[in-house]
Amino acid sequence: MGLSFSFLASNAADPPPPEPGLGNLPESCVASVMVHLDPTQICRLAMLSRDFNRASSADFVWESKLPLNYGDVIQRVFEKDDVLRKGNFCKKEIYSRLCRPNSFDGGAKKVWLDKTTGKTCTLISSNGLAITGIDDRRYWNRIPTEESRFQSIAYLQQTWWFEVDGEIEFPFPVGSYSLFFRLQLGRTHKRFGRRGCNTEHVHGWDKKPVQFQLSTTDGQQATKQCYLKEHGKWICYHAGDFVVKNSSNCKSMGVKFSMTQIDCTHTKGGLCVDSVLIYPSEYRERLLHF
Amino acid sequence: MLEGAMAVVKPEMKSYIWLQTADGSIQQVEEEVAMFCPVIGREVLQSGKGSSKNYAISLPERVKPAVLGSILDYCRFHQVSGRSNKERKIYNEKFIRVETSKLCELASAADSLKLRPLVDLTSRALARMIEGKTPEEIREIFHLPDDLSEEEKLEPLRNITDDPHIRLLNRLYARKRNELRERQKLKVLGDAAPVLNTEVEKELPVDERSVDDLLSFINGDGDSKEARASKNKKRNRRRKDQPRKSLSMDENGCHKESNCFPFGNTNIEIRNEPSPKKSSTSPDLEPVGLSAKLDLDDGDIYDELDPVLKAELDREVEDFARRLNSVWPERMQELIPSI
Repeated sequence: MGLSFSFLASNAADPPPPEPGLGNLPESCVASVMVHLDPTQICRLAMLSRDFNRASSADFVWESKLPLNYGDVIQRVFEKDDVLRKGNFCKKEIYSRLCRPNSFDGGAKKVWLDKTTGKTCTLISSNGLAITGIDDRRYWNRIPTEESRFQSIAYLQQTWWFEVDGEIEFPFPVGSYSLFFRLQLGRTHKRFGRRGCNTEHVHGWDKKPVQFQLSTTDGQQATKQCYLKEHGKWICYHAGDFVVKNSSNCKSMGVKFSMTQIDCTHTKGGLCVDSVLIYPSEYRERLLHF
Repeated sequence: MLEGAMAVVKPEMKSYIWLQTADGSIQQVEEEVAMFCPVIGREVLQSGKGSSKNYAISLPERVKPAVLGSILDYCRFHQVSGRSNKERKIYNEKFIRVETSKLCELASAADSLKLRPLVDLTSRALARMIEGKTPEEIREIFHLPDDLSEEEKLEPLRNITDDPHIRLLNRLYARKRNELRERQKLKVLGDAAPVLNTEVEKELPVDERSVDDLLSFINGDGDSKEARASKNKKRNRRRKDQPRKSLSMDENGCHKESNCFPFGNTNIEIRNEPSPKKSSTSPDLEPVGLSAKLDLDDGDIYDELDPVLKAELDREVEDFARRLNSVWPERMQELIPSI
């Protein structure tokens, strides 16, 4: 046949065929391999060769990294006229955009995807919390600071009734989440470029524990009591966990949480309240050491 | 007599499908095995081919004869419904324990035959091989050509969402591209005075990280506020009185339009440049269009700029590069689980 003839003729001139390897794999194959790698690795691979570069932009690769209900998340987080809602973005760009901390609810909350795992992390600032007595400058002050993602924290001078409530309604992707309060005993200041902490006014926290409570719209509840300790450091106090299951009827999960110390036999003060964190439960260990 | 004749008929009538690989060789395989493969199954049902040697089903080019044998073994094993999950798992583990090159061929063939489970299996195995290896190692194992030119690696990113990080990154790339061009020019000129060389090729302590490492940077400081706070200590010199704008302003009251460009003066997450005193009177520029325009011709406009502005820009970009290459976030990650 003509085929075999030409094969023989060209054999001498042709260089030996390249060794089979990923270099010869079609893009779709490389992309299939990338589905099983995490985003940072995919990005590194993208620089290795042209084929890898193209394969790394494949939509189905990044679709697998996005949370299943990312459409709902985008709807919830971004304004109607935001580019992300209007424009036609490839999944890679959507992932990239969601990995940045995105403010919503008037800047009182932030949400982002963890870049490696694609899990959703949420943050509620002290501005978004209902703090009893926040308007009374005898008790509470808002202090601008670099140490908060929201650039300001609420500082408690002293009070009898300590109550911080909050709630959030968000289309959390399926998974289990842990809620933390980021607090610090003592007020920080910076002098001559050094960080110092004034713990003079810290009092009352060792008398009785504070109470954390958490409840969700689908009936999950958690309570916890613990003492606030360790002056001078920001600590994430674990308040409770909740689980989001896959259900088609409700897109959003509402979570109510609170931190109270309302024993009126003693005053307490000297506390900085920064924010409430809702992280995937897998990160719990990580946070507790901060 | 009739009954006797009928008794001679074999109890089991196996039917075979004929397959032809790209090199022309033909083989036959049991029907149920072949049907396990969607592409073959469809061919049989739709076109009725494969029933005899002359009407063999032509397989896609990527299916080499050697690999076809392995694939058919796979199909033969898995199409039997009676096997337990554990059995299948053990078989799969053994199946992928082959040379890398064979694994690649299997993946490629399975993909062209649309044999989903085998594609997953081989992809996973290949991914496991890639995990945790350096780029050079990966190139070595998989014989990848390094066919992305330096210029291509420094392509500016599309920044529709006006991400300040991307803006800075594109500026960094523009600068690197310029340096690259300078170096190439010098090469063409031949080895000129060594003085010239050292001047242009001033050593930036920057490694050529991937364009898409942006993603690894974006949340690199997202895990710990403390880490960021201390990291930002020196760099966060943002003046309180300067109003926050979505795009920053020209700093020295220089002319509008072409000379003015956005600094990354927005987020607290990237540290900000100290702004010279007389900045508050500058007009607000139309944000996205200008930014996009400048990003594209970044290299050219850069040269026309005020030298003071240039210095500011340089400093900002260098700082950004330093942060990009800083191992601080990774180190923090390492520290945390070890506590």
